[in-house]
Amino acid sequence: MEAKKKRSFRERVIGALLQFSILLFAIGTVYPVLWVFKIAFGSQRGLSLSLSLFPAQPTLENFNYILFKKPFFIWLLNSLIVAAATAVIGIFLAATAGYAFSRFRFPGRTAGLLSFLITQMFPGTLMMIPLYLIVNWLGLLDNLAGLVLVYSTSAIPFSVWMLKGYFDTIPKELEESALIDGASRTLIFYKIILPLAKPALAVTALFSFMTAWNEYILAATFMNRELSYTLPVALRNFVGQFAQDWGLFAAGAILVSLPIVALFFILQKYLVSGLTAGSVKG
Amino acid sequence: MAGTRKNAAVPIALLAALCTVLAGFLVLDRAFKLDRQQDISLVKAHLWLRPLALAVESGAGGPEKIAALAGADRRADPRIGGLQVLTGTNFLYHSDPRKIGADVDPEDANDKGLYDNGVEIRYLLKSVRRKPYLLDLDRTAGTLALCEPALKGRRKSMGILRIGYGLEKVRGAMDWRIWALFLALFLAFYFMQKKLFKWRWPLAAACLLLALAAGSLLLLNNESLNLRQSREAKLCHLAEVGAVLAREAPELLPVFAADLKGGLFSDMLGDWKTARFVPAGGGVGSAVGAERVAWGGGSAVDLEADAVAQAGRRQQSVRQLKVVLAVFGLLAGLLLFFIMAGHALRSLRAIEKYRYSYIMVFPAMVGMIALVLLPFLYGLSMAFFRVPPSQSGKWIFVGLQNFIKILADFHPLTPENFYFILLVTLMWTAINVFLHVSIGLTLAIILNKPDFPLKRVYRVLLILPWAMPSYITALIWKGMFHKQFGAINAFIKLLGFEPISFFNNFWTAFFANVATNTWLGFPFMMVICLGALQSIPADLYEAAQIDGAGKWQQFKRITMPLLKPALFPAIILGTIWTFNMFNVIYLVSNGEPNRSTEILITQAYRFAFEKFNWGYAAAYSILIFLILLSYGIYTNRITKATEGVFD
Repeated sequence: MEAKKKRSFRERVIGALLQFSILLFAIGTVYPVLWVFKIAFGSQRGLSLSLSLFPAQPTLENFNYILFKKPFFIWLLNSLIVAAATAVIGIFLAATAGYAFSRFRFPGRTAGLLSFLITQMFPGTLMMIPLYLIVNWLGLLDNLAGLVLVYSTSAIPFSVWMLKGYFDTIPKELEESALIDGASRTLIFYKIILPLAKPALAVTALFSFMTAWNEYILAATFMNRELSYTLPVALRNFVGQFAQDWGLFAAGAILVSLPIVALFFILQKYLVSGLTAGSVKG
Repeated sequence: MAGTRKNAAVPIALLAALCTVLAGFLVLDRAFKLDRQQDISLVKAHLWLRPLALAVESGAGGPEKIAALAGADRRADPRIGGLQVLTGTNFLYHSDPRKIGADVDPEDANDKGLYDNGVEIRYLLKSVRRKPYLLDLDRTAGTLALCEPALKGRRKSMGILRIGYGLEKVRGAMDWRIWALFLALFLAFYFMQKKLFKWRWPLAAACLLLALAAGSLLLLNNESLNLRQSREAKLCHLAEVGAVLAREAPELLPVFAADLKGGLFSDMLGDWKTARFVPAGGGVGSAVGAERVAWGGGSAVDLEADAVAQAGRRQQSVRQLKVVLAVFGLLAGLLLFFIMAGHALRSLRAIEKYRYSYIMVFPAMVGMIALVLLPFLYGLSMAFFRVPPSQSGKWIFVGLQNFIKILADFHPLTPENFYFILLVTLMWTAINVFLHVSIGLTLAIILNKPDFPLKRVYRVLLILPWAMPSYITALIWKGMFHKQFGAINAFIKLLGFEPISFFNNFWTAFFANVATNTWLGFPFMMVICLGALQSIPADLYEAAQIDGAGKWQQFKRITMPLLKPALFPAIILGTIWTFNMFNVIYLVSNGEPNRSTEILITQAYRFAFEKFNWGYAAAYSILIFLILLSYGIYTNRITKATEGVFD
């Protein structure tokens, strides 16, 4: 009785310390984000060295300027179209390939999977010039379709690996019994496998969406007209070589991050299972 | 089974090693050959300038005398491109007749370079003895430009002379044979890996034979095999120059001999090879100079006659060997062809049989091939060319020159040097991955405690950095490190210190990058660890507790082994991503200060899109790829991260 009480006291101290340090860490993690809010709601003149998270002269002028003096909604629409199309196309391509890699044994399977892995090592700088030439050759410069093409293919390897891992965890017996009942392979894929793989599909779609939503360099290379910019390109120009408008940038950063952060948190419950189910056995 | 495979593997491995050594040697050989030819051209260009410089120095003749001399030079050697004599700011002679007597035009790129070089030489005269300066060297265009000071006494500058000169053409070792060699090597290794069909050993052997044949042909083609870097080789260069001079311009031989006595060439030959744009600081030295004096002047001609006879004898034997090797190569090629034909037939049948699988993989594969593999191959080929910035320009094949330029520049302590950047990149990757994993794992273990209060809230908050777009994160952190209004400096001030300009010092700038990337990357590792931890059954811990295992032992014996299968692939992937983390470096420190915090990928980007040196950038990128590939293969073998994935 005595010993147990002692231990629980010690555990309580350790627990309190742990909680305290996690709290500190969380504050440290969230601080930069809150700092952006401060800059965004402050005026350019109010910038000074201070740790306080409340702007000296709160104002909405940065948001007002970005939303209504700049073609913000066109940029938003561009980004939305590109990211959504990338997610849909990427998922379609990756799900079929991932399923085949998971279920069938065919010559070239190992090589295919390995080559997907190796493409992750291709340096972006090496790909940029040829991609530019290809997109130019297709006449898709300054066109959202060009970005969709490039993004959806570059998202494939990661998606295929993730989906394949998840498909591996779905028991084969389900399909075997469906086959005996006379269902076709295609039907099984759409009616049984895809619904079961919802967490992985959601996470894969989220990542494809994020890739497209966040990508800066290719978008900056392919898109030259201001009206065809995606959000990252537009945003970067606020603190680029010729401008140092941190207030505008911060306001823009908040507007850009909100949708993606929201999406992230909505799909968060799938994140852990979708991401790791394939890689852990037992 | 295992025994027989081992027996077959030994000779093949030996052959493979031989071929690899051969290939490496060929690459080096090409570099030496280029250097040697370049030395000869340099010395010759210099020798054409010497009499002019002497005339200017002695003040013996006016502009007419100089013009006559220069004209004679240009008629004598068609490889002289342009010739300028500058005294003060005035052209005493110019290969463009309109400019004779005119002043230096700062708008003209060529002439400005000459003027600047004159200023520089005047400055250097205080410390360094006289020597010619290499202004510009373009191996692929085959031109060089050389500057020579005209001095009064030892220290006072009279003017400066410049000559443009064509380089000797090198019949490159990088012709089809070297491609055949590399292809054969690649195929050989490929077939050795394949376990698909029983013909792989003869096939690999045939390929290696081909490689050997191609390599030997190449080697035999290169004369002066063993006289390369030695001191004799340098003497040999001078002998060749002497021979050429004796043939083309005998009147220059005395000047040549005099310069030999002065030890002028010991610097040129010694140092220009490695540091082309760095003024020589002593180099081979005067010990060699003394020997040269012994055969300076006329005896160079005898040396040449000797060399011709020797080359003839060597060619005879080369021709015979070539025939033998060609026959070998042909036989091996035929064998290869028949086996490949059978292989192709089999793959057709396989496609027929596994139609459904291939149809499902097809769309993804087409996309990958068109938009990932093709661009990659295109970029790959770019590394072997000099690619002009405009799309219409013509690519010029330069073989491995881009790679040699990158790898042979061994001054690892200067920024922008490949080895320096590699070091920074390795440090960057190691520190980041370590921090990601340790922070992520710690947080996951804490947040996985069943009774930890508010753990759901914390999980959501701690994932935030992952959800934010990384370019925004990077720019936010750049702002946080800002000297005037950054939060970090506000904190430092609060502690009573002076604000720091983070991007003026390597370590603070590097720290800023690492801090940003750590913030960006730990949530991914945390989520991976959380997922893996949740899948570990709780009864394992209970059993361990009953057996009396402490917390640390439980962690070591249960948690770590069960985390491994999830953690290792994540670490490998994380390493690759960090190694190529363009956004953070480019947006946070942007290489400041003085390009020292660049990593390989940002440096490659700069070569491509700021200097428009695309071939060079492509070669850089391929080196990055090779580093990552070998890392991937190595770690995969060690950790067995992909084991079981292919079943």
